Amino acid sequence: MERRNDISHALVALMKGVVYKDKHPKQWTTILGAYAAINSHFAQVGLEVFLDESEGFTFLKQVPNEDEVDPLPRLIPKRPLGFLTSLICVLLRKRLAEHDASTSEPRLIISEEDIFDMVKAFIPEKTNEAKLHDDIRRNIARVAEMGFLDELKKAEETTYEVRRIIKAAFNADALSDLANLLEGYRNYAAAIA
Amino acid sequence: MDYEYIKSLKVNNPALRIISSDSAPLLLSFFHQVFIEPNRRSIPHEEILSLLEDELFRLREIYGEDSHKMSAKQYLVLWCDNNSYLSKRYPERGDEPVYDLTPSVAKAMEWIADLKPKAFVGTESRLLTVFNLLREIRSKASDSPERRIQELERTRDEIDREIDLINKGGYQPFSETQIRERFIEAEETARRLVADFRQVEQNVRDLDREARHLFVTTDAPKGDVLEGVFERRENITASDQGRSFRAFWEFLMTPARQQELTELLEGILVLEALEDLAKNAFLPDAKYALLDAGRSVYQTTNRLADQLRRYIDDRVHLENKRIMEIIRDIEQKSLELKNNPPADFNFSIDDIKPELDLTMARTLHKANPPEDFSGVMIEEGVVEIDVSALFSREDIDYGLLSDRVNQLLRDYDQITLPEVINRYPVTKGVGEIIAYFEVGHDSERVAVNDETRDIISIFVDGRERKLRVPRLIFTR
Repeated sequence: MERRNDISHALVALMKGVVYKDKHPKQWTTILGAYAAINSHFAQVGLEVFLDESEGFTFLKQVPNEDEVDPLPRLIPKRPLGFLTSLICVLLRKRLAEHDASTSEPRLIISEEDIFDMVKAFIPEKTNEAKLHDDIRRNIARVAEMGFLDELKKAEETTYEVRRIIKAAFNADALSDLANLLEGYRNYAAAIA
Repeated sequence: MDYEYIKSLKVNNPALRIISSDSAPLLLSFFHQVFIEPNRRSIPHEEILSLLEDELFRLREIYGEDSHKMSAKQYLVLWCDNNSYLSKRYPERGDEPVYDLTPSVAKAMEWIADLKPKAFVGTESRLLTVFNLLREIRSKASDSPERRIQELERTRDEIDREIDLINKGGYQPFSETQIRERFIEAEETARRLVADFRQVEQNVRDLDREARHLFVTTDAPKGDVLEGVFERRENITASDQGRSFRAFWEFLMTPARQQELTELLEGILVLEALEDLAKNAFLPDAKYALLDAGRSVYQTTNRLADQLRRYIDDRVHLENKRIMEIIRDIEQKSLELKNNPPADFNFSIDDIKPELDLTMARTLHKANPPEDFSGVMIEEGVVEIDVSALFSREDIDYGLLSDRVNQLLRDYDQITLPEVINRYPVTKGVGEIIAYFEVGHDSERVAVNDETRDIISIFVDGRERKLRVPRLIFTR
């Protein structure tokens, strides 16, 4: 009975979002222990439990089945991202890769100021710096809402931790989709110029 | 130690820089007070900030407002710059960064501590230490068992002689001086050991960084890279540093040794000769300090192993490389699009959770029926509720209020409280109004008319509240 209860909690936690090893140790252990059972539970509704043990997170992924005869409707929505939001995500993803390559610190902490500096190189210089910052700040909030950034409450300046889940969301496939898309825009821009 | 070397040290070595910097007194005394004396290795951000604020406040009281002009926050940022004085890290969990001294600064502090003229310089105990070390080397360095047996026999003779002497009534315990001398030396050695650990930790970190760098940048065949890394690890474990650390750790981690250390200290610290020294003794904490330090060295080594595992995993490694390539591509294209940012941009990724928004789960609007109080008997009673929050006066500036009133009284002979508030709207709630009464009362140039009441509106959290108060009139 105890075990069944644990599994129910783990199922609900997954339905609600990403389960992290550090944030939800109890659910994490349950999922590790009963992975097969939990995965087959979600397989019924066209989902798959994506688990990255070394990064310490797990979440539900939509199994693509559009090509099947009788496709299930999607349970996990696609989230449209604006250009700036996408760019911020990509740059954060890059930061994380560089971070892992250079230090043994497990967490990547980044200040709002850092993000401003990263992004500014890709935005036409506007005279109105304040408006630009507001723009970027709004997009940072969107990225945080998606779960890729966590604001650190105790830091004196606005500071975020980059959640490692961004690695799974912006994997090679998603990134090359984005690169192809940009290729199209670039060609278009070149054609009308 | 040639000219160029010293010259470059003066510029590049944080230990020398800190000693010659203008704010050395602040830096060193503060670091001593918060890190060395209580023997701490990590202090959370908020705590160190408030400690520093207190210290700055204290110094400004003594040396005037002009000394140490920067704020505590600015100092902290400056000291962490390039991690030259303080290293700032985020712990495994939690939102708050922690600070520790860098190895070079720890070294500088040791050196400064050494400069202080000592009450007495123990010469006997140190000479004996040298002798004992030499003896130990001679008796154990030789491979020949005969030699070792000879040595042991000599020791046995010595012991026999001492027993003999004691039996004849010639027992000579350590004098107080001899006890103190030895204790001070033990303390100094332990202190130095803990300080040196910051360096050991730094060395391991450096090794880790190098290895990671190698994984990412190199195009060499994986076999070569791994060989390089293992060789380096091998070198480290086989190096004097590595062996000594392992032996140290094994020694420290043996329960019997830990027990012995605890018992030794318990027995020694109560000695009368050490009464004044025992109070601020470093040794009782030293064990924990050493365990802490050793543990972080081990943790770093473990993380290196993790990283190694990932590197060996082909899939991850290739994916990483590919991802960096794509990201560079994206950056390149975004730069080209810089002045024509894509309109109607159409990119999306899968969300990371299913969307559950069940229409039927929403409840209908339910109107609250009016409460029916008929039939409820109202009884008189006393309730104890903490209403202090309502009247919080912590951040009310009495001086400011009094200035306002005086300002207005230059133009008017007398003025009522509502008129004052009309001019200066209330921002701090009911407490501010009460404060006006106090200010008036203290100045004694005030009339309170209990018969007449004034209505005052204040805004609390954006909502208007009305208060009825006795008429308060300020006069010149």
